[in-house]
Amino acid sequence: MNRTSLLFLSSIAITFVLWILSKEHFVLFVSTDTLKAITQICALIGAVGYFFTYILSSKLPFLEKITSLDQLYKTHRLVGTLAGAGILLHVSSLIARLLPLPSAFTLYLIPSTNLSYNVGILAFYLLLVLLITTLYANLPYHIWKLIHKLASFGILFAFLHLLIIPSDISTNLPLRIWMIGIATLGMIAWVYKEFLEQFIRKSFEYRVTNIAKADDITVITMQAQKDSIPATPGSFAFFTFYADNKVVTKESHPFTILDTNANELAIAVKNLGDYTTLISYIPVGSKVVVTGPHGKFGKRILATKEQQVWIGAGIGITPFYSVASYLQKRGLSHHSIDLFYFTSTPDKIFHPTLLASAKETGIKYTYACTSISGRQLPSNLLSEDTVSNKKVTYFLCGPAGMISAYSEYLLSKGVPQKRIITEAFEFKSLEI
Amino acid sequence: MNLRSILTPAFSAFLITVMASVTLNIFSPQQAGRDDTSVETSDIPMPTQATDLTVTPSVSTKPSTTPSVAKPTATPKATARPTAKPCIVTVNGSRYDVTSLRKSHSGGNIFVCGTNMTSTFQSMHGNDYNIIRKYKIS
Repeated sequence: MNRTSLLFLSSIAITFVLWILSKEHFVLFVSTDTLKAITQICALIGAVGYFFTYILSSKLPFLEKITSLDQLYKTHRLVGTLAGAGILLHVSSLIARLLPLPSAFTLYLIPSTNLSYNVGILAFYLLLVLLITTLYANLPYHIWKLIHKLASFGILFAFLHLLIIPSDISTNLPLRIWMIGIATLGMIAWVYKEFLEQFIRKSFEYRVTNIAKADDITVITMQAQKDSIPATPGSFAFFTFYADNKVVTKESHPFTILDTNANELAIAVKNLGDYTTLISYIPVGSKVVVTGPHGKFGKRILATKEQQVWIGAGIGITPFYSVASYLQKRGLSHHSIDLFYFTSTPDKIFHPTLLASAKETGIKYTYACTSISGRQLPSNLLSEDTVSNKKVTYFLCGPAGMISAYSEYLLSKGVPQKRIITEAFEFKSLEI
Repeated sequence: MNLRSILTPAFSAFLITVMASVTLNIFSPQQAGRDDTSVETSDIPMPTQATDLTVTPSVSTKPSTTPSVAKPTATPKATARPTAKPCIVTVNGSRYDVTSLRKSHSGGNIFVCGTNMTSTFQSMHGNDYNIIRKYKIS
């Protein structure tokens, strides 16, 4: 559990205590009107989670001092889902309380003349859009991101609902201060991300100098026009591509920085069929705006002096590739690293280079193409001797399903959670 | 852990509740043609205005389909205007005319005219009957 998850759980605990203290006779209240109690606690937990998700996804600089960006997004997805469940149960129990009155449906789901209800209803519908498009609809990334961005305006309605709805929040001062405080932080985070970040966060301008394609991977090399990004091995950044000085799409995408030469950097883009296809056809000389760097994965690898196992699947090999290149270029050797790399189709880009750098650096390198040698199960890949060695640290990067399967296997073998370090920047992934 | 496994039970609960309330909304007696004033108007004192404004067909030589408001008469007749019909509910043994409250109630128009709404009232407002005192008619 990362520090932001702990922070969220602490916030929930404080909310719960303040809610209990807001009741003169709490036990009597819960026992006489259980449904009302459920309605209230679901609303409070849902609201705390809802505003917390905005803070987690804001990319505010102090957050990355607490934990890495991919972990922040992971917590964002989990907290957002919990908040969604809380608010769904809040509305459900509100309706259930009025049943069998026929107006139960119209009162809480159809806007009327009551402003406090109307803003709550609007925020609820926008939240439903977020939840359905994220968890149940398999939309292309750029469409999903646009919907996510538009639906995020629901925070304005949610904030207003919290301010003006007659409730414990309006009558109990400690609870009011606490809830409005969290909501205000959420609002600040949202305003920063949507309106201020583009002006505040430092960006770096690059030009594309080379494009190399092999199967479904495109390696784009670019040169800094002025300052170069202070990237570290294994870090990633957000890239916005322009063609003929027109933005290809306004969205920025995260990619691992493969190479950290003085003025040059390279990224690998896997063609996933939407935005990534578009940028793989970008002409040489195109402008690229880069923000970052983010991520602590590479730093943690380099800081670990004991035995390590690196497991990279598909495009998840990129941070390992970046660190291996760094070690190779500096003539550093590291004999206590086992690198396992597997792809679904034979790899012509990373595998040959990794093979060469493994020889020079002493990394024990194993490559497998799953379409030829079959699925790489953790039990086949990792020997009993390795998993029983409590000093081994595991670094995993790849699809969320693979990370989840390997993490579960390692935990079942008694490997402590702190020795399983993962990186997944699939922002839409449903696996936590 | 898959995020859908967290949200799907909450979603199911929501859908079940919505379906139940929609079903009640569609098939409730009120919607099936029940008069809002299930309490007979003769049972209660009519608001003054209702006795003042009676609707009668206008006397005119020209054919007209539009009824016009006749001069005020002192004769108490049952009004034909639906908006003038009162909505009476019973709370804790007392009867209340909530006709005007239906539009201004902060919790929306939850009233089922002619029914005993004591439990609904108590679930929302406890035993604070003072807040509806001004609507009390008997």
